[in-house]
Amino acid sequence: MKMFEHQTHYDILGIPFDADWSAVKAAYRQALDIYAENSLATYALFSDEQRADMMQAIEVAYHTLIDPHQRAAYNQMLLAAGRVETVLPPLAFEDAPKPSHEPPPPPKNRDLRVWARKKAKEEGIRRMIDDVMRQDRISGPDLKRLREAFDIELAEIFEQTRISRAMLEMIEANQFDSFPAEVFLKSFLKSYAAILQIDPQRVIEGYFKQMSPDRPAG
Amino acid sequence: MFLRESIGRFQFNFILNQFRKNSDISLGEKIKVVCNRHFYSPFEYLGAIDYDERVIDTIAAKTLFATQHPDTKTALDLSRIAQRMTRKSITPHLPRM
Repeated sequence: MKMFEHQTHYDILGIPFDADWSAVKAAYRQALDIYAENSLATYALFSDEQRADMMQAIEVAYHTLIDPHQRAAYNQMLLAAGRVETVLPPLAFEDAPKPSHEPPPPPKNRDLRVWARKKAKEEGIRRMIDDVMRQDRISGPDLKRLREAFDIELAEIFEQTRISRAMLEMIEANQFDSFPAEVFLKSFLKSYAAILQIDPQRVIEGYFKQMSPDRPAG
Repeated sequence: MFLRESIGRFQFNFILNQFRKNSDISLGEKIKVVCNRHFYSPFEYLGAIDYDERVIDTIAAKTLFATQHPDTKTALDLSRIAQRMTRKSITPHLPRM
């Protein structure tokens, strides 16, 4: 089994050399999740000692790569040791908010349902809704297009419905493999549709129909 | 080293069977990350199959679950995974898991 001994900090977190601060943070969170003591993905794979070593390696990797000065020094060390040929500067590293912990944009301060009702009366959006609702199958990208036309952020839908941002993204990306039980998915679609002022039942039928082209909607 | 190289020629595809509703939906992807990082063979995650207590009844009755209950999440999962397996181009002479 390959452990972390000969891997760079970038390998340990599974990120490219030009990963920006948010990618480093996201990779760190994922690594903690995967290698935690109670993680279903790894609980039977490693001994306590191995797990402790790996968690320490993850911590060191994260704290090195999240700090611009430490990261620059580490990159120089990699170059000098011949372990990499070139290291690109991290993207937009200078723009990283200092100790802020919330990368997603904050929800706009407005009553979402009032805003959506108002937007739904606009001619262009009305026409777009009619087009989508006339479709036999309604896809995630269709819903995303509508949401963007309403100028509504995923974070706002989360605030209103408590459906996680990851789940909303999966619905909009048609990532069927990762969906929860049917009853939950229906509930999510219903809440999503209600915010966009469109018929929830029609959305559920159309969405399930496009998930399974051969089955009737239900 | 020989063993490592030999194992490295395998392509492993895996699924999560009897997947419970309250399970971590990203578990399969996490296992894939771990396997690809720590083992010497490439791993591909094909998807999860939802747990359905009626599966045992169809086995006992020697019938096909997917035809008996085609509208269930479990049947959809099976269909999706089967489609992925048939779409995947795996070199014919390599063993499949």
